[in-house]
Amino acid sequence: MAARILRLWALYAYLDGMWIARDFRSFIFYYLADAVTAVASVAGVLLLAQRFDGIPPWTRDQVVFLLGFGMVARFVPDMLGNYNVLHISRRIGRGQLDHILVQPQPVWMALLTEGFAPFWGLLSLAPGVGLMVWAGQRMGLEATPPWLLAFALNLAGASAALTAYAALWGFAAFFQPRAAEEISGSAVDLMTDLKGFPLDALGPGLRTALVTVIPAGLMAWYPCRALLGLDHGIAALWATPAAAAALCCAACLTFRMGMKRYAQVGSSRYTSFGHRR
Amino acid sequence: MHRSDRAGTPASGTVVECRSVCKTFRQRQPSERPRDVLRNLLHPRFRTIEALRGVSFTVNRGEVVAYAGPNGAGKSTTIKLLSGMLAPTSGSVRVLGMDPVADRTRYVGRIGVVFGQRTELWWDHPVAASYEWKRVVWDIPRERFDRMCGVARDILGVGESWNTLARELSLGQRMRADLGMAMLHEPEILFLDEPTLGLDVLAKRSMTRLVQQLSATGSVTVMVTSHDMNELEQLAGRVIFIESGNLAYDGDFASLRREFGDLRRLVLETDSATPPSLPGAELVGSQGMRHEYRLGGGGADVAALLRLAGEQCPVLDVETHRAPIDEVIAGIYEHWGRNRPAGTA
Amino acid sequence: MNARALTAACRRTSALSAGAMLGENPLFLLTYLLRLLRLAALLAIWRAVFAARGQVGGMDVEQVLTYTLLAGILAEPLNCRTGLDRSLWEGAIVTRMLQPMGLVASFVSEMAGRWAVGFAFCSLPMLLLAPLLGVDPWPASAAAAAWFGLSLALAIVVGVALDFLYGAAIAVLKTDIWMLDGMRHAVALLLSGAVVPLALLPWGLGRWMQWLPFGALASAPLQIYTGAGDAPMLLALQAFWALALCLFGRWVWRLTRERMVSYGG
Repeated sequence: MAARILRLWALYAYLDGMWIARDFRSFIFYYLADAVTAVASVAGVLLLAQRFDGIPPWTRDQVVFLLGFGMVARFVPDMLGNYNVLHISRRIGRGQLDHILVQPQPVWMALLTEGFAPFWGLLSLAPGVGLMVWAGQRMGLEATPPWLLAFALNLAGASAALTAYAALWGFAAFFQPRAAEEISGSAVDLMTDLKGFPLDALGPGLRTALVTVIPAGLMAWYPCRALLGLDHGIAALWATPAAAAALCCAACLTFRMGMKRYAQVGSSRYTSFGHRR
Repeated sequence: MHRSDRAGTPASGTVVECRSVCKTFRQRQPSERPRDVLRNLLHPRFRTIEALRGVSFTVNRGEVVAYAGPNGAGKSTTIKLLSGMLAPTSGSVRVLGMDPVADRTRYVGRIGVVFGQRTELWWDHPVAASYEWKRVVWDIPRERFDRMCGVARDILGVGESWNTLARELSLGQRMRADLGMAMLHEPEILFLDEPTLGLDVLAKRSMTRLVQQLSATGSVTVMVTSHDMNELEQLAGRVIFIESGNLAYDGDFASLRREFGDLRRLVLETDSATPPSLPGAELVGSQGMRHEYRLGGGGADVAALLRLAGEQCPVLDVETHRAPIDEVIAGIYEHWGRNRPAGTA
Repeated sequence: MNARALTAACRRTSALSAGAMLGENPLFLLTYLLRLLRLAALLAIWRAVFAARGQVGGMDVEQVLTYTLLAGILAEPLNCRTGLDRSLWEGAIVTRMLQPMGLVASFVSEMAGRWAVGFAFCSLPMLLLAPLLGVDPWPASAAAAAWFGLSLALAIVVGVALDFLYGAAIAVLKTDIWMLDGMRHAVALLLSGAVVPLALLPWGLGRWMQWLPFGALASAPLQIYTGAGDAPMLLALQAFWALALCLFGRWVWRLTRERMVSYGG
């Protein structure tokens, strides 16, 4: 199974590469748009942190690290969820699951592999890593093996949390295809719009909500608190991966329910918009 | 998905078996009145659509079956049921000895599906890239892939658009490329849903020939839906008619004509503007000295009618022709429309 | 088409557009709930940033909170999205051109229909919840309220003109809309001052950015409402951009009309 997944990823990486390099103008334009989007999406908070010398209780360098972490955590789902796989409600709401159902492989495998686009968003990965390295150096952060392990786990957890949360909302489209067609996008927006903000200033109720019901805090704020020592204790380091695992389980269960329903009602509204490129 | 997966599949016999298949859907019925906004949101009204009402039929290996019916009759629903996209509300669907939904991953490796309004091609990639994608995802052995690519290129004419981006193909080229792609894994059954929708006459004819060529081998079973009855009559030896979710007819086209009226026409050119009186033939109209009659059923004795006409006035020229199948079908649809119970979706 | 018929056509189109949203179940309300939560988070962050600070960039915390609340309430009009891009991408622009009401009126009336639903289900609740969120929703003065109305109208004109120019750009570049869409969204949010007031940006960046057309979208009306800007100057700037972009848009539209039809037909 692992070999098949790798084989499919290689196939989709090839298609992604071919697509990006299909002509010079598109190639340049694509990366330019990507770079501008990456910079513009963090510039607001970055400038705010510069102006106010941090966002209490975070220092400026910590905010910079947080922004970098958020960018990389966003890159992974984007890389795995192209062709609207991350925005799964569109695929379901537009009746595009039919294309997957005619493939001789489990639906989860198709969804795990067919959105793989490693060349997508490379220019948000590079600045994200750059910001983290730059801030880490200024803070004198020691990247010991245990810390790197915790970092990798939290990064994977943040990415998985975003994917699972978008999917959880997105599966609503199994039940209400038209009304919920864009719901995954709203869920992604909610998670990612707040990913660059230190959320400590919120009241305890909202803070709890933002790591549970609407886990935008898991995208960067909560894992970075643990990684940068703002939150002491080993539990904090494990909280994001654990929450992500719980979200993934919930998403899997909902997906099974949704697929049962899809087999019963199918989709009466088909559009190829955004299906493949 | 390799050929070995098909071991044990009989070379003949029933491959599709639908028994008392029912399929119902619920359809939202929102009110347009502003005062009903809250009701639409919180307590919407639905109506139940019975897309299929106990449809039963079987298809044997190697058959080419036309699946026809008016808009909304349940054709696409049936194709979706047969291709594992939908499960029946009640009744059973077995294809190749499998339940298309329960055994989906194994099953879809042995069938091919083409929807006229959908494409499996990758939009911004050459056709060749889509075919390569299919090879990997369907895990098609290289030998079979190369052979079937040859079929697609040579028989289906996909070679001319091999390196063209899918989005730049004409509709006819796209359909041929889609059909070629559906054939790459050598499916045992091909489901074609409106494969000629939107195609021009030449492209339609070319598509029809392609399906005929594919089916001539006898190894592929084809089920095809279309609104173009002439095309279906050319393609298929057997037609299944579905109307309002019910199976209305299952047989060959010749019997269909017999059963629903052959509607043959007799055109006589005489030296008189007065049409001869021919019992058993209904005068459709006269244009100068040309008189057209509708003949009922297949039992009309044309020779006797000509003798009778000759007795009344000299017959200068004679033409007889069968009404196009579309006309027969239009008559059937009109008949169904008149007899459909009120409130039927 | 006379004015009366045009008004009737626009009203009907708006009603249909709103009805299309309302004809569904309440799931679309979740989008609005998400907007409300985002607002709450932003308000809390501003309070933290401004703690123990007086005025920054000529704005005090109360003004920034009102600014953020209004940016949330008027999120749609302050960043106009007519749907032209999607229509072009889906190839549906030609059918719009056949409508006697004209392309701009058709798209704008559809957009207004969506706004009406957003106003009823999101903006109004936000406004009513303002006291609970600890924000004063009222304008700085009666004059500010009056100028704000005019400024908002100009912001919409600028927004629609920019949206049409964006549509022309994707038709000319023949590129995927989603590629440009993310960039456009991020750039517009940053440069329009819809998230961070331009006055609060470091190094005096805001002083330069306010001259850009994006500043006319959100920053200008919100500054006027909160009394944080020079209303006549901001209005003049908005009027200039509205006029310039409309003329430029018209010219670009004429130039690219054929390409738009071939791309989006």
